[in-house]
Order: sequence, then structure tokens, then C-alpha cells
Amino acid sequence: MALDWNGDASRARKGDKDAFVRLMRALEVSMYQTARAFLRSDADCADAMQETVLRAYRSIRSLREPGYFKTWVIRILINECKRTLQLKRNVVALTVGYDAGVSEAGYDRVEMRDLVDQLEDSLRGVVLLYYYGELTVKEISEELELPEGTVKSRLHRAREILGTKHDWQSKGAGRP
Amino acid sequence: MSEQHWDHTIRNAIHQAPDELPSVVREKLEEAYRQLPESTRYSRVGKPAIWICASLVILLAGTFALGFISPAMAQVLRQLPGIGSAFHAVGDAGVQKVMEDGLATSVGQTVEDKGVAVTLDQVVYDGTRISIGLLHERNLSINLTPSGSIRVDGRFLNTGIGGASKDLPDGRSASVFTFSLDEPLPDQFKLEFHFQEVTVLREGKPRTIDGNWWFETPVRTIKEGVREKKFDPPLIREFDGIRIAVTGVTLTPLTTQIAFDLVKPDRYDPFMAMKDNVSIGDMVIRSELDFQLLDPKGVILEPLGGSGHGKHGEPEHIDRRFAPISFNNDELILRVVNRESKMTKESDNSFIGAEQPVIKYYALPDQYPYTVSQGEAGSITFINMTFEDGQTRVEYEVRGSEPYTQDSAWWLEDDRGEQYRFDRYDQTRLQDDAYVYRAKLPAISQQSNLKIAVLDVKPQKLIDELELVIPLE
Repeated sequence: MALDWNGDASRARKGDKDAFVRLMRALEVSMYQTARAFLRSDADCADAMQETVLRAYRSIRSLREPGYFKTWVIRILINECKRTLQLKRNVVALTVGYDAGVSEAGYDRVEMRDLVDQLEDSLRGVVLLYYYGELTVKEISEELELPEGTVKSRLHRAREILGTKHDWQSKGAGRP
Repeated sequence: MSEQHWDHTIRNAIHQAPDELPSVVREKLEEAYRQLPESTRYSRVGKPAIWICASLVILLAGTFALGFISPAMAQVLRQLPGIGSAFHAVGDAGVQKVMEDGLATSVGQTVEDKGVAVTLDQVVYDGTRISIGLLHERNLSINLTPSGSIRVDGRFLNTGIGGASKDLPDGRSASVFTFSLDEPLPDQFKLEFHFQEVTVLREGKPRTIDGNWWFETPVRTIKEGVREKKFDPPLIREFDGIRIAVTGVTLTPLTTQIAFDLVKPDRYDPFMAMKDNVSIGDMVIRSELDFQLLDPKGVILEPLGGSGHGKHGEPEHIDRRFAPISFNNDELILRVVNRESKMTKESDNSFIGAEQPVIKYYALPDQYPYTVSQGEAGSITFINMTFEDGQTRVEYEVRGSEPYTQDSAWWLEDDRGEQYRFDRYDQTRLQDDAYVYRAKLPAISQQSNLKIAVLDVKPQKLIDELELVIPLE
């Protein structure tokens, strides 16, 4: 059954916990992929997402326009991710986390997520924010502190790689 | 291929992808959903809503270097009058006691950012909790994060958070936040208290403001009058699928804290009843285990909150705090009660209490003491009432099984229906061994036709089989 975004967002604003949880569940993948644009480990993503759920619930009444629920939640999440990054700058890293981009596994089943993981960092972050977080080019440029032109060129490059790889894999042509 | 085609391809692929998340993410989200409190519509009568964010299982990897992040944004430090009033205004029974004993640290540091000034007024730490008193403008809500609000000697701590606020007569508000910790802190340490978001009321509308409010103060741990006892093996009681294992008790001038591990059947998950397929209009019974701590004389200690953490399938570790007691007691008694409430599902899928409160009205008595029933839970005796220009003072005593509900389950009401109420911070307990209070109500100019309104209070179900004596010797 399709989610009633506006209705559930309105109910959530009035304190309906079930409606709030329904909305959050529908946003989980977008949230996770958005978090991964900033954070390297799943554990950090999990912490940031958990904190986002709690903060969003606490301040749901400050959401003025129910139609902007997703944008509002993603904004909270990005702030949480940046806060985590701020903390991590002062962490003495003992191991290098997240290494999905160098997988040598075959392509029995093509998942766009796998292809995104293989992008180099500079492209991956932009793709995650654009396609999963649904941020505009302008918003991405602000969040990543990049010129809009750079964001556009990275998106262009990423689309080229992803589209080509996806088409080839889907046709069973093997790895490009 | 065109870029437009690839864009379409990517969107389609994302749309069709399975909604799988790594297990660590899934677990954290499910934990967050479980911890979300119900709307304030479900708050118990007369008690302030308290947020307990029990996310102590969050572990931050690595060690944080000293001295990171300067709060050098647009912040102004200055002194304001009224320092030392936060704990007095909105501190719990333990905080009030350490105030009287002179054990709280006065700070008086004000940080202003984005036009919002907040004063760190007082701090106290006793080995079980950090309580922080703040002064700020009215209608300001401070948004704290469990893993990013408290830094000790340069290291962020994961905490459970509880809090309460109250308006002050001078036009400002006081807030006291209590942080539960799962690790001991040094005898002296540098405390940094930090938040980056507040919600303020501007022109009648709530507005969230991002900023940086960062406070720093030295804190000395209360060491005198602290007694800690560990139980290894733990003290265990088991009954009907519930297993409680007490692992320790800590007595301080600020707190009496009981630590225990709890296993309970799903039927005691307060949200379980509301998750099943319930039709609109149907009634469900929500069950929740609660805990009472009694001294050897049978006096129930005032509950002051607590925190808990655990993983699915493992016992939940719980720290419950109660008001401080004297060292003269040689044992404490832990009781487990089943708090049941009937809820009805509304058309908007929310749940509201199904039981209508029973209110009984009594004329002001000619003579004191004057005792009336509070239903099955017990009775209330009014000892005297004084009507002054500025306020109304009422001394009273409650007797029964639910003293910390009964104590606030009454008010005064005039013949126009105007109610004169008080909150828990307007009442002072006058005796440690009885539930005798003095409450300050608003001034009442016209006492003719004034009535006492008293709520019936239902006793909770005591699970006798789980009662446990905790030796202190």
C-alpha cells in the first residue's frame, strides 16, 4: 500500500508515533545512502541515523510543511553526519574503514548500489546525495563546499560510469 | 548514450533495489524506534514528562584528543543576576538536598549565540549522575544529544538524559538536565557541556536555531557520604517469566541508585499492545514494569528517573535512581509493580487513555485536619491552608500505595471553574518518614465557594513474588 506522506507527516506532527515510524521506515535507505556520502563506516552511519530518528521525533512539531518531511529529515541527518565528522577529525584512526569500492567479486546480479560503491569517493558522495538524498545541485555544492560547476561535472562523470556499467552488466557483457 | 538516459537508468535501478540495510544500521534504527516515547498525551496525571533517551549502547570508536574544537563562534561570556536559582527552582529531591548541604558547584557562565543566551548555573556529580542547572529565556527548548552533550577531560561520553523546566518569577526559565553515565568519572575533572540546537518561540511560532553553546567548568565529585555495595553473585528473584538480578546499590547525598539486570516477557513491552493489529476504537491494555524502593520502615523513596540499555535477546541493564536516604538503614526493599493502562485506538491511529478520571469535590473545611479519600490508592489529609496576597500555601499528607501520584492528584477550584494548581517543584516535603508536604499554589483572592478537587488514584499491581530485600551492611 502506498505511503500517505502528507497525511502521515501531519499525523506525526500531532504526536502519532506510528505515523512517524512509518515515515522513517520509508526513508531508511535514502538516509543510509545519504549518511554514506559523509561517513566511512556503517557503525557511524547507524549512529547518525539513530540520532536523526530521535532528534526528528523530538522536534517534529517544528516541521512547518508536511510535504517537506523528507527534506527536513535529510537535513537533520546531514547535520548529524557533519557532527560525527567533526568528532572523527580528532580520532586517531587505527584501521581504515569501509572498503566496498575495491570489491573484486563477479557480477552475478547487478545492483546499482554496488556500482555506486565502486565509484571513486569524489563521485560517490555527489551521487549519493543527488539520487538518494534528493538534494539539488545547489544544495550539494553548499553541503560539500564545492562550486556548482564541479558538482555538475562530477554528476556527469558518475552518470557516464554508472550508466555504462549498468547497461553492460544488464546485458551480460561482463565487467567493463 | 545520452546523460538523460543514464539518469533515467540510475533512478530506475535505485527504485527497484531491495530495501536492505546492514545489520548494524537495522539494529540501531529498531532500537531508536523502540525508544521513542509516546506523545505527551499519554503522560501520567500530575507528573512532568521526562525524556529518557536510553541509548547507552552507542559506542564511539577511538580516543578523542584533548582540546579539540574551540567554542570560538560568536559567543559572549558575561555574568547575569539570579545565579544559583536553577537547582532551587527545578531540582529533584536529591538536588535540593545537595543544595542545602552546599555540595553543588555554582558556575554562572553565560554563552550567547544567534541571539540566544543560556547560563550554566550549577553542576553536581556524585558518581551516579551529572545534574546541570541552566537559566535561559522562557519558551526555549534545548535539544541535547545522548552522545554529544557531555565531554569529560576531553572525551565525549554516552549518556541517558532526563530533564525538567520551570518558569521563574523574574521572567526567565530554569532547566535541570540529568545525565546517566555508565562509567565512573575521576574525583576532579573538566566538564564540557555542549549543544548545537535550540527551539524557541518567536512571534508565537516554534523556530529551531542551529548554533554553538559550549560551556566548560571544573567539577569535583561528591565523595563524602558515598557508599557503594556490589553483589556478586547478584541478588535474584524470578517469577512468571520475569527475572531480576540486582548487581549493586549506591547511596550518595544526591541519589540512591539500584543497578539490576532484567529479563521480562514481551507482554511487558509498553508498546507491544499498540503494535498489534488493533482496529480503530478497540481498547488495549498497556503493561509496563515499574520499580519501587522502600526503606526498612516501609517508606517508599521518591523515584528520580533512571536509564537502561541492552540488546535484543539479552537482559536489559537498568539503573534506577531514587531520593537519597540516610546511612542508618541496614536494608532496602525492591518491589516490582505492573503499571497497566487501558488505551483506545483513535481514528488517526494514535492511542489515548480510555479511562475517565474520577474527580470528587469537597467544600473547604471549617476545621483541620480534614481527610478525604483518593480512591483505592489511599487518602489525603489537609493539615491547613493559608491564603495570602501573593500565594496560597497548603500543608497536607497523603497515605496509601501511590504516594508520588497521590501527592499531586488534587487542586483547588472556584465556582467559575478556575483551577489553582501546583507542580512538583512548588511542593516541599516536610518529613522524610511520611508523605507530608507544603505546596505553593497561586494567590486566590476570593475564597468563597472554593472547593477542593481530588482525583481517584488506582493502585498498581504489586508482584509480591519479586519483592527483594537488599542488605546494606
